[in-house]
Amino acid sequence: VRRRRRADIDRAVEALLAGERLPEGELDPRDAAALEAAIELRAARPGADSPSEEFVTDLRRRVAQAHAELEAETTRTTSSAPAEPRIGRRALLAAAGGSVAAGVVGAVAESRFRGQASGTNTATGPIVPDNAEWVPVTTDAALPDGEVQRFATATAVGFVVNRGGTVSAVSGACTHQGCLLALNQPLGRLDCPCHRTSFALDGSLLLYQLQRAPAPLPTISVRRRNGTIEALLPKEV
Amino acid sequence: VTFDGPAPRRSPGPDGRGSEGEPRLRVVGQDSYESWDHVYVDNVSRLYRLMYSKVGNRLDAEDLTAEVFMAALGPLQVDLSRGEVRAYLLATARTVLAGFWRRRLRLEVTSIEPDHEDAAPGLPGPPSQAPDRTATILQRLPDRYRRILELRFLEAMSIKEAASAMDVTVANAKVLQHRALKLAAASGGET
Repeated sequence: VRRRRRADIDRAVEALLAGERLPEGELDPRDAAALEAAIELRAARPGADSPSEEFVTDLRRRVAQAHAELEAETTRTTSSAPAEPRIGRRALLAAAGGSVAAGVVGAVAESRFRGQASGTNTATGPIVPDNAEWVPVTTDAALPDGEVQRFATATAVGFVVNRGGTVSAVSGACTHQGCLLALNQPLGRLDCPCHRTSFALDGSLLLYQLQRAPAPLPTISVRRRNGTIEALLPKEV
Repeated sequence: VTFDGPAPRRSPGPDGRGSEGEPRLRVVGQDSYESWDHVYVDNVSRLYRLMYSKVGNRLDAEDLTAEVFMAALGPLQVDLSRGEVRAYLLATARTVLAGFWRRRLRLEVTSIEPDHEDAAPGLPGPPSQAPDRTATILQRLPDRYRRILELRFLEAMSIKEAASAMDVTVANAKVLQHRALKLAAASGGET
């Protein structure tokens, strides 16, 4: 154990010297001060501690965006307890009575990845276009039990799933900002390429790192017809 | 233009995003921030520098800085005084850093003191004292210990290069470096 921990301090120091993130590990308490000294030496290089322009600009945008989302949500949920519905973090903080100490860390860890359980957004339901038509998106033969297929038409993208002979479909655009989801085959879920958000194949939210939970994916009506699978999609205009 | 997602527009419902644009500005007293953007602009460099001094690398410092703002965003009311806002950010930074260390290495290597500076609103923060302090610490070390740290931390040599420059084996150089850091830590604590 001692040897492994010794390796952890060495790896941490080498990472520092290489300008990399500190690696995960388990530091021997006797090495903590040594690592602290290394951090101090590293941080003391002239000019090393100025944030990059790119980082400052990018984070400014992210903060503004997250803030706008929170504001919009506060406006919508108007009256009742503002702490409750948003995210667990707020409830935690409220419970801590304004003291940050206990709340934030749990909060941060929690807001990073959370299941769908207490998201603010409820189901958006099926897409029901005003002007719809049934469009073939795949065939029975191409979609055996357990299979998922992406489809894209002129008006919509989606994923059609065969689960135990029942076919269903969800929208293929993330409900946060509309980035097109990718099928993560090994994990059987849909991943957003933009902000680490993942949906289950039934459209429910699995993971997110955003300040507030994106809505679940809208479902798309599908039916079987003469060996093909059709989806109810908006007509092309 | 904000993308509205695939949900039908005619039912705004709980997903009715898209209309939010600029953060709402509040009319506030002189000693407060006008908006969250002002909070950000006024505090980002200071928080980043603080985090950098605590973790010693850019990527972790960036993540932690972002984490502080995101964590403070919900609970923090902008129309508090500047001092209160900063105190809150600092308290948030303290817990964020503590959580970082627990997750990363299972113990808190560095921490932010509750009474950490930050008493002078509007000033760009004092220049770092770290270089002087470091020089002092290095000077106190025995020659070979000082040398290995200078080679590695100031002259950016690899462990091999440093070993060769000091005419020792790589294994010896590693041990030397480890002891030098421990010694530096011990002598640093005395200041």
